[in-house]
Amino acid sequence: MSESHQRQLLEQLSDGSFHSGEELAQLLGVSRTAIWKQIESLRSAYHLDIHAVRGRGYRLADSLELLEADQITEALTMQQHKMLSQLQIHVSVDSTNSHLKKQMLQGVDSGSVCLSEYQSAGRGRRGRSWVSPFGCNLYLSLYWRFERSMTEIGGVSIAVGTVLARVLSEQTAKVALKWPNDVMVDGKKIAGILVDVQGAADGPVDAVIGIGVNLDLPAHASQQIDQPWTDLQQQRGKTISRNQIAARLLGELLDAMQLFQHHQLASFIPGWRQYDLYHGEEVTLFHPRRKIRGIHKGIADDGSLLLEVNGKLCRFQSGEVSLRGGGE
Amino acid sequence: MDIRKIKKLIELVEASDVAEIEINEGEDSIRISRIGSAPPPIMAMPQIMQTALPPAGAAATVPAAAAEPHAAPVAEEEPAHTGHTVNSPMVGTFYRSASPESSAFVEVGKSVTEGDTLCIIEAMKILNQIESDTSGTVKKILVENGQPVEYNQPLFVIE
Repeated sequence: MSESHQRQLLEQLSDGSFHSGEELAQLLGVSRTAIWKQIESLRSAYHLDIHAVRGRGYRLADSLELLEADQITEALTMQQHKMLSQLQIHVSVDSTNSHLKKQMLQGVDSGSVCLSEYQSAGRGRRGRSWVSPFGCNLYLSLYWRFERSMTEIGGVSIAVGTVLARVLSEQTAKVALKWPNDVMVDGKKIAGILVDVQGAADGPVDAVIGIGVNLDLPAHASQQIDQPWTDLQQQRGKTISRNQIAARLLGELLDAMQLFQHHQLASFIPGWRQYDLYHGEEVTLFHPRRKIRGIHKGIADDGSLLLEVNGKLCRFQSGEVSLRGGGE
Repeated sequence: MDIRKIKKLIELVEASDVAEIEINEGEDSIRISRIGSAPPPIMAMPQIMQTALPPAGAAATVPAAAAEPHAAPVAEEEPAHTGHTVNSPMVGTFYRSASPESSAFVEVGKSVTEGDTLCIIEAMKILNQIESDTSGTVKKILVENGQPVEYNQPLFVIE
């Protein structure tokens, strides 16, 4: 069964009511056996809890709000709309960043966006995975071409982190940023960013910016996470529209690309500093081959991390920050 | 680091055609260099080495940054390599593969064409894929996996 068939089936089931096998088979133009097989594969591939009751049909245990391209684009301003060259919404991809990167090499336009309900191989930094259960979080990637050098592109991390923190802080209190762009609530990770860049060192460079936001993690998925985490549902105590937050995030992200393109990293720096999680704290910066202890002094104007080490202010472009005493 | 170990290292460097070697072990760090002088000078490095500013860095806005520990030598102090060097376009962390599990993008002896990925340099949590700007054979890989690199530091020699 094709991805569009799968999507159609999910759309029918998303309301959480019963749908008979016959009704679904007719709608999709396939046999009842094909529907049954498809239900089985939805269960096994995506951990979806689908009840089957003789004489009544199939129903999802919990209703789903699937991502809808129309709902998302309608919420964008004219200006944002112009910057968006295409919006893809997939049922499942390996990772939205990997998927978009492949398309980038095949020539899709800058301004393309890839969203997926599920990632079979969601990626974090350096081989780590991003736990990506079906239909409950946000996995979004944006491809943008910058007429800038690779060094200048570093600031994108700060710009995107600031935007993400701002959008999430509209929904919940206590949002903070861990350098350069992990979004934390109460010291627990709620959203992460991964940027893949390629191109000529002095530009132009192609960036694929991936964002994962925990909206409502089911228990089966959260057990796989190896660090303190939280989601928006826990923080707010009530459900949020996935389409609404996807639209809000995408709009802000497109605006940020526009600003950043015009050499305005400076306009994001004060915002970032407002969310600075560890300011003034003793921290350890972990590198693959060493660690550095110091006092967190926020970020420099180019977005690099400032640490006071043995009384001297030093800046760093890479490494993982932890509170002193915390290990990696 | 144990003085005998250092002595041993110096002997090793003398016996080889290695111009400079740098070893990090936990918080200890040593660099032995024989560039331009004999006997080879020994220079124990402080714990922090990688803090050079990016080319267009906002140095002026952070005056205190000028007082930071001196950075590891960059391009001009490196021995002259025959062949083309691919230099780091930024300050960051050097990785030879896409992830710890995957194999290295290139090995010594491998032929590359212009545009092939040679390594990843991570800076500001951005994974920058560094491409070869020439075609040829990889003669030397000058940096170790996971090592911090400076702006313009030679990474590969390609002939």
